[in-house]
Amino acid sequence: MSTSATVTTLLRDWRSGDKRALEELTPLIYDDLRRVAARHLQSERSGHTLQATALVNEAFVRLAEADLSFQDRAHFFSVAARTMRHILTDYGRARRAQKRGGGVSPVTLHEDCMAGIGDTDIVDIDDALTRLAEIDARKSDILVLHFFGGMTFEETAEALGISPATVDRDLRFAKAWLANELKDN
Amino acid sequence: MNSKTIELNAERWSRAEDLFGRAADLRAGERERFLQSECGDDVELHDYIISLLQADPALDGAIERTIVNTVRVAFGEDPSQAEQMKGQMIGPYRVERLLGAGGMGMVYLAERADQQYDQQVAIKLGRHRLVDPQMELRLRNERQFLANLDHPNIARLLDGGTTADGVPYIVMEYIDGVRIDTYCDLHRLTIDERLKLFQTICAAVHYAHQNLIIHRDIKATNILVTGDGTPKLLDFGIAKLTDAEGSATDGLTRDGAVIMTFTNAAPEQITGQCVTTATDVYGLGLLLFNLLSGVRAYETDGLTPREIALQICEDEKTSPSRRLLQQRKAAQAENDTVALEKLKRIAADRSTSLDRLQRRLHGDLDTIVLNALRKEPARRYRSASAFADDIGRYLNSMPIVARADSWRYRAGKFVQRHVAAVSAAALVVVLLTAFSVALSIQNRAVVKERDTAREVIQFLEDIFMAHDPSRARGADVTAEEILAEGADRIQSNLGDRPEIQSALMGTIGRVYYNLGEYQSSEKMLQQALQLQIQTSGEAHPSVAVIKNDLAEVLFRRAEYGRAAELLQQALAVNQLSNDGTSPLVATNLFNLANVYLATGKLDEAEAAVRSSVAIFVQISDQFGLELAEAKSTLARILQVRGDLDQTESLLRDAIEIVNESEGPDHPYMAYYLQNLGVLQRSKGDLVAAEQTLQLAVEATRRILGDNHELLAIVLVDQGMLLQMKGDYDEAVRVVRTAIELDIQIHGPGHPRVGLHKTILGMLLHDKNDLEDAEASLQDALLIFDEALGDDHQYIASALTELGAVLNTTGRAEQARPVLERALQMRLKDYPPEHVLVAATQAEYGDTLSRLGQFEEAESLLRQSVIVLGDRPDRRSRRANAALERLEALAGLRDQ
Repeated sequence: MSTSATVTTLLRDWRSGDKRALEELTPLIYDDLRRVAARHLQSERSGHTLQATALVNEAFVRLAEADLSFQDRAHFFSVAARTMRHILTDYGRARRAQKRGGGVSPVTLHEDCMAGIGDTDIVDIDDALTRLAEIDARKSDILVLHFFGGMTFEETAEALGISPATVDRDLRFAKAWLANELKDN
Repeated sequence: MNSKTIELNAERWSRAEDLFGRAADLRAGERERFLQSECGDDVELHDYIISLLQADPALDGAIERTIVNTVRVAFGEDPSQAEQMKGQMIGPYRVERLLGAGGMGMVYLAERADQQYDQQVAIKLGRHRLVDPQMELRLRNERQFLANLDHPNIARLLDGGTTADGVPYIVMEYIDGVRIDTYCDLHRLTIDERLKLFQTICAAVHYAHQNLIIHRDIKATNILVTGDGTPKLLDFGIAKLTDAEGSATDGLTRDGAVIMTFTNAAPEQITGQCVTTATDVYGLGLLLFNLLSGVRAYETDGLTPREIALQICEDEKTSPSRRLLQQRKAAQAENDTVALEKLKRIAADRSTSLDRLQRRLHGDLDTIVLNALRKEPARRYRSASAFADDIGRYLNSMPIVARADSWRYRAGKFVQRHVAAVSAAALVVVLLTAFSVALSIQNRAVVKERDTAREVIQFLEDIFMAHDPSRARGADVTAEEILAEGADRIQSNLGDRPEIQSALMGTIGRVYYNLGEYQSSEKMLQQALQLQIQTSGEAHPSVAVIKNDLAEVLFRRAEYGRAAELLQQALAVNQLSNDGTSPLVATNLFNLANVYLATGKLDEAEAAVRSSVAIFVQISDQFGLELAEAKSTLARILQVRGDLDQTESLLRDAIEIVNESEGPDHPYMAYYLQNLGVLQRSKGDLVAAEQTLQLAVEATRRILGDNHELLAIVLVDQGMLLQMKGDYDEAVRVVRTAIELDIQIHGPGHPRVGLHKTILGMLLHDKNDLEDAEASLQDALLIFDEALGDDHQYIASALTELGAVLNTTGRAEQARPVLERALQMRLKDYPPEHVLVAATQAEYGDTLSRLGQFEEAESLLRQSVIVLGDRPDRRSRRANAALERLEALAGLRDQ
């Protein structure tokens, strides 16, 4: 069975309630995200900013079958977005540990800039999302799908089983909440 | 729990959510009242909602940037390798840390280990070992070449070599900066500020091109801006250097990198054609597209490489403003608030609104960007500096050189009357500028009510809104249409606000003036004047301001009597209400001098302009240019008086003043040098004239660019100088070059082409190349006929010369109607004692004497010789020659 057929089958299984399918799906996506990103960065010759959402998109193109239904597509993205969050956060925590341990200066790329939220890093964002999940899990989910998956309202709505209008309203509030949380960090 | 989060149980949380949603929909002013009534005593909740509402939406972008950043380092860096490299030596450099992963491999921050220089550098380490020893030699030569680039806006290539393992590396100046697009957004640079920054980059690219180095990969990531705002280009020529092993097609088809590399490629890179400096112009165009609009020049998301390639090679690129509009419409249609927010953020990052941004880009800026993105390299801006020059013209509200192809066909009557069609967006800028100029002049005299000013600006924007391209027919709105509508609306909507009506009409009148539409300008200013007099009475300073402006228009329309009258009235008012150093008084005097000069009242002109100079001298720190202008006018007067030495010294003063107050690169420099050269030529100082005109050519090229109309004019001056030196062949050649330039700048049907073809006709006539002379003059007349209607003085000039050629070729009978028409036209606009009338009269007299009508001929020729005198210029020479011929012919008859 090809990878894409596997992914498609797993997505369908997961949607019909098979929890184990998700466990199998995640590492597939995890590996692919890593591969795609690494290849991009090593062969990168353009100013194209490598966005998490673009990677998720590309993973989708590579892993899933072209005729995937809208629902399956939305679910794929939601898995990929969450996976992306974890990859990045794991990395961020490792960096922090290293920083404390070895006194290694933080890696900042000259072509990037994190101004705007001071020293906020990915871990701060992750912590805030976790706090939000305790208060309002749905809003936290929506933010994850938005920032890490680049998903549309419709896709988000489908993945979470709510209406697009709710996504819109929730996202507005959740963004304000998150910005407020990170403000003076 | 974070301190910023207040204790919220489920009930309070949903209450907060509800209040936030409702308050967010209210206008800022209404929120406070709403929240107070809703929250009551719960101050904590109230404050919390407020802080949520104030959460900066820009943080959204910052969160995305943090994520992007983490993606790069999390995936891009192989931590083990980076750690391994730390402290390692590459050549004489010790690696400090990884900076990033670039096209050719890793980039490290390093320091010279021998402490010879305390300098941090960036080292790019290649990915592959070099196999071919020849290659190493080639790379070394190439590096040497690049190391010669020494420019403040180009990161220096310092060193290079191969490691012990044979991996090539290059050492560059380390730039601690932010990439340019991020920098612009972070500092919310306005469109003007972005354009200026971009011009600096163009200059750096041009410098490299002059050193025969092409960048090949100009893009935002390769341009960093340092803390003090200096842009630095990275990786000049490196694409070629690091691609030594790569394929000739710049690695476009390399597996996996396809989409990412396509997005910045120029069409010729896709089709595998030669990469030239024009490729960099294209890269600059893409960069500017994005810096201005915040969006990419074409869609890449979800497209196959082939589809992207097709878009790149498509000639008709979508303009920046249209791309914004398309994205906005798509977002609205899909109700995609995320996309909409993104667009709004783009505008906010440019310190403006989305509406305004779209309007700002529409028109000239669209045209400029698209001109750099043409498919054929040869049709783009000829150089990076020509690109920057056009932006300079845009910033100075001058007509740009780039023209959308279709304009030529679409342009209506307005363009035919050789005034550039102005897009709606550009026009509003003109309107507002004209208004603010008028306002600032008035401010020096009177304290103008701020409210009136605001209302005027609002009104102008309203006129413009009616022509918002996104709502209107999509076609360019001509300036004429929009001004006409503005004038209508002023009359119908503002009948009860005469002071605003007057200010607006004054503004529109000034815009018409700047557009060369003197008749409409006069009408507007006339009405503005009446209204102002009604409101404030005759002696009000505002009345004087309008009178001054109206006089300038009348001057252009050669209505010197009325112009002088108005200026004297304005002067009287201004002298009463101002002290002796008022710029208003000096301006009135300056204009008055020009009117006197035009009517031949040299004494009055000289007195007026001397008074004007005397005032401007005292305030020259603020009015340096005006002082220079006044001195140059005095120079013209003294030139007419024949005091050529004094003239020359005044022109030199003017040059000095401009140089001091504005620096050597002010456009007036080029103009004054041209004047000085022409003066020296007429002094007969041909050596000095030759030098000065050469300087003028250089200054024009430097300051105004290779495509500026002044360059053609100076070239024609050079041609006339060569003619005086007797070098007819070279004279003709130079003037022909000028004409080619004219055609390139203005198109083949432009009156300037006709004018210079007229001069060419004279040169050819003098060269005795009569057939070509006649053809050139006929060309000129055809152009004038199309472009100028039938009563323009250019036509009279061409007809006069044509008549002269016909005389020379023995066709006096044919010359007669030609010269009769010319003379009629001259007399309609000039007094009988005018030089131009005399010159035409001389040729007509010559015709009559050739036809045997000696008495009439003699009276005409004697008159014209009196006017033209016996100066060593062509007109005078021809008149005297005609008189001699008459005497000879008449003598023959008498015998």
